[in-house]
Amino acid sequence: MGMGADFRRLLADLHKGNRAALDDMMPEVYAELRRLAEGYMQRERPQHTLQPTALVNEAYLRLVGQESVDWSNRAQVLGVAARMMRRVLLDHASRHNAVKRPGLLAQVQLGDAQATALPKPVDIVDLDIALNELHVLDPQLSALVELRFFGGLTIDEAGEVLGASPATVEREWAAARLWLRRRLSKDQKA
Amino acid sequence: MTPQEWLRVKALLQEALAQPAGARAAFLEKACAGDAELQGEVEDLLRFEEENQAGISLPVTKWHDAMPESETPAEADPERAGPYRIVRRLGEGGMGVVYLAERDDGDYRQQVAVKVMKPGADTAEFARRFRRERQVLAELQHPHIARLIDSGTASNGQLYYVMEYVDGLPVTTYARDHKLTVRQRLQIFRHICSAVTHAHRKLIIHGDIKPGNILVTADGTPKLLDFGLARVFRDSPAADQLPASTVSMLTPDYASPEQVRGERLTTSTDIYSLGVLLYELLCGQSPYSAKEQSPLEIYHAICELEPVRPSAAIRKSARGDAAIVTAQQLKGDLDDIVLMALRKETEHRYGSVEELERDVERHLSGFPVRASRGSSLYRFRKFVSRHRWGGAVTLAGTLLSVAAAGAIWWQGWQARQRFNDLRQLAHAVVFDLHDAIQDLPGSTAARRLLVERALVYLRTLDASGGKNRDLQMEIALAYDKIGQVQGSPGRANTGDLSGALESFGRTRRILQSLLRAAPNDLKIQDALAQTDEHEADIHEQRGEAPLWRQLRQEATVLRWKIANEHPEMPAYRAAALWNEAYTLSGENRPAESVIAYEKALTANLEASAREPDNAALRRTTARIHRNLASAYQQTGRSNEALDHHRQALRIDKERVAAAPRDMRAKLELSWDYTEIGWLLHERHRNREADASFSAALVIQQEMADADPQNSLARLEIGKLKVTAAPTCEDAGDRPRAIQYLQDATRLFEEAVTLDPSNDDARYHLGWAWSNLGDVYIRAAGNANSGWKKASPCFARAAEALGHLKLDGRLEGDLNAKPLIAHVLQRLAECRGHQD
Repeated sequence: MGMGADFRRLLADLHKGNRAALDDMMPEVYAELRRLAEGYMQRERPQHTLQPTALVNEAYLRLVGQESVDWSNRAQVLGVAARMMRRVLLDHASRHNAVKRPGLLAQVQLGDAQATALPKPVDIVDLDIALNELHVLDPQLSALVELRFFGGLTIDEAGEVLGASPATVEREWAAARLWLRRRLSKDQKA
Repeated sequence: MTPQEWLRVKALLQEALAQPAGARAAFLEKACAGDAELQGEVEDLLRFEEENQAGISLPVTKWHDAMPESETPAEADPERAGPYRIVRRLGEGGMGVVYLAERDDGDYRQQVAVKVMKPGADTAEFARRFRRERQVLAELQHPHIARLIDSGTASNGQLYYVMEYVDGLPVTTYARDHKLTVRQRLQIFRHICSAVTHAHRKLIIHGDIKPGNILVTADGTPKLLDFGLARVFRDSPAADQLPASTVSMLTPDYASPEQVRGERLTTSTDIYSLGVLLYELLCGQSPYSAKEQSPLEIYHAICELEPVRPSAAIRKSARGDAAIVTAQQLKGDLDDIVLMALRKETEHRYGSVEELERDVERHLSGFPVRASRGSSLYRFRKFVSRHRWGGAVTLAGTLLSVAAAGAIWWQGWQARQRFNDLRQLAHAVVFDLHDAIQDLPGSTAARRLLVERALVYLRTLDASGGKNRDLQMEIALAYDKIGQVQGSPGRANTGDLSGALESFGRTRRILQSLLRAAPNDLKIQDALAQTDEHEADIHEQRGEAPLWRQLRQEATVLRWKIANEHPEMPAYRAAALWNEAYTLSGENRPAESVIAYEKALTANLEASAREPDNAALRRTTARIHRNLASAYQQTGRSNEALDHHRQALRIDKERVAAAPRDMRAKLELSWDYTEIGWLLHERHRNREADASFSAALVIQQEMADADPQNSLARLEIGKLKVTAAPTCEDAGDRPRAIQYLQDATRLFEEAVTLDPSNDDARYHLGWAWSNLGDVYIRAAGNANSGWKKASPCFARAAEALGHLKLDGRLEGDLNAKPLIAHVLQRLAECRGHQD
């Protein structure tokens, strides 16, 4: 895959400390995730759930290549993938809502973190709106949620991306969880 | 709230969370120091900490420790569960705690395992799942499955059920401790297989087969425990196998590739897990090396890596087992059996647990086993799936083998649940898989097979499931798909027009009866309009004008109905306008159709602007440009025609670049090149025209080579060659013109032989012969030798055209009359030259 080769060059740049390489990866990560997600969502039925974290993993493996998995920057790359995943899901949701094709919307199952953080499967669009609000209030917190939900990053990995200690991330995560739960349960009542 | 205010709230919230629950109120009281608003905000957020966390489905692919579990205070164990006295805790799972208990009424004493639903897990959903597992267990009665004895409500109000208590060791531990021989190990394994087969016959997939769930009692009897991880719920009474986390998910070591990917479970999943178990029983280690630690590595290992052959693994291992089990014993049959069960693709594993068991038995009795090291067919399939079709064919195979597994389920089907499973499966095959592969090269035969197989299931379901509306709808759409595979123009098809009409007729009958029950259903209206259009296409190919007209009108009425009901959707309006325009041009009313097409184009561009990424809308735009071009052409405005063809070409080039394997986009791109080539030819720009035709030919040849079953691709090449031949001649390359026309006659002959009712092919056959005759005459400079050579060509042309039905022929379609007149005149001239 020529694409993979390009991506590996960016990885090498990143390895050398060039943070801008992360931004350059975005289009490719986005395209890959989108391709994968569309494939799965077409196959999936409403009763099934789509697992973005599994997709992120799969996309990562595909992009980085099977043989030469470079683990040193894994968290950063997964961080990019998490952001792109959010966009992919949102694009998909809005596109299908617009076309009004019933039955095509796969239920989205966010990262493991969602299970404990949210009351029940949430509409992706509602979640996006809530995250945008949180971003205004506390950008660090919304970035953390993005990493945990859409990228399936662990506390440690998220800490690596955000440059914070696991203990801090833990505390932040607890606050984010409560804020989101309250915000989204308001939605449900409304 | 401002960000600054939030930072204060957050800081306080985090501090409060660090306090023990009981001390929080006092802490907040003090910390907020009378700021009631701040205190209220934090308290409000804290309320959400207490929310019940039950009822959340967790993804199967969970290995991360998402977050530390909130500390649940250890609940006091119940003292009794009905007549059973709790002795001690054996283990704990997501939903229940398993206890050892005794029944001691009078002289009757019995030890049992009691599973009590966890306090706090008493939501309706949990209770439902709990009851379902109990129900599943009640259905299973097998000497190697732990038996369900009783159920009820415990002293603390929780549901419980009572199972046979198995006092034993995990099977791998037992084999090691008792230093079992290979033969003894295989005998135990066969018992386990028979238990799993029993479950499969009862329509139950275990989903979590691993040593911890198979205990062997002191007398050597294995018992399968803990049913229903996948179908009911997950938890494990075997404490020694429980991961530290209370949310115990799949044990990755025993999970199949499809489980890891979070796909639906089938009986084949159990076969895979049995393979892992057998591997471990024989060589004392898991098929994947223990090095793989992170989720990604495990994912990679399970889904991608080929396991080391058991005989090779044991040679390397320094475990105690090596003394009893030798590489020599495993080499050959047992290696093959284990690896066959462990195949990544479900369709390459054993078809059933019974087959696996039988192979083990064959090995024990010295017969050759069925498992193969990968036959040439297997290797070929692997090669094909790796290189040509990507994942689609593998997926197709997988789904088909699931369908085969469905047949097992059939025998004992009782529950509604299974009905739905099977229906979803057929649905996935017809709608998702078919659509996924329909534009791939070489997929015509696979598509037909897929849809037909799925239809068998749908029909069986229909026969036994009563009149279910959704099911009827799916059957209707499945017939529509079959019709398209049989003869949809513009799509790869098998050229069976009569078969296609029959299929569309079935679709129509079902849809019409559904529409009577729900006259305003958008989905049914849309489906019916589509079927009308598909069927009209077939009538067009067969030259049945009245039927074509009637169906087009019916579709237009439906499309306008949909558009008027949804004025907010420009795409629906565009579809209705387009439909109208298309009918007008088919009726040979080009001036009116130009106006209608322009309107359709405007509406479609409006829809497309709203959804720039919508590939279907992009395609529609290109198609309207193409239609508009030919409408302009018919009104004599060839500048506009060329312009619209170039617009279509631009879009189709982008489509092909975006999806290089999209056959339909390629076919349409080749049409653009062809049309542009023809317009350029008419302007005597022969060099450019030739280049455009050649570009089209390259694409079409590539498609035909990729899919020998695709008769449409061959027909298209024929048409293209007939069209391009005059350009070759005008450019001075007459031999190539002759070659093109000869190729074309051969291709059309084939199409007519395949389907004698294909008038389109017949007409073009006549045209090709006639043109060839004309070229021979010109080549000989009107000399007698040329006429002599041309004479049989015109005879063949007349024969082909003589079979055409000319009555009711669509005026705008095959304009056969001038061609027939030309051929008849030439035949007369030939006779004159012979005399």
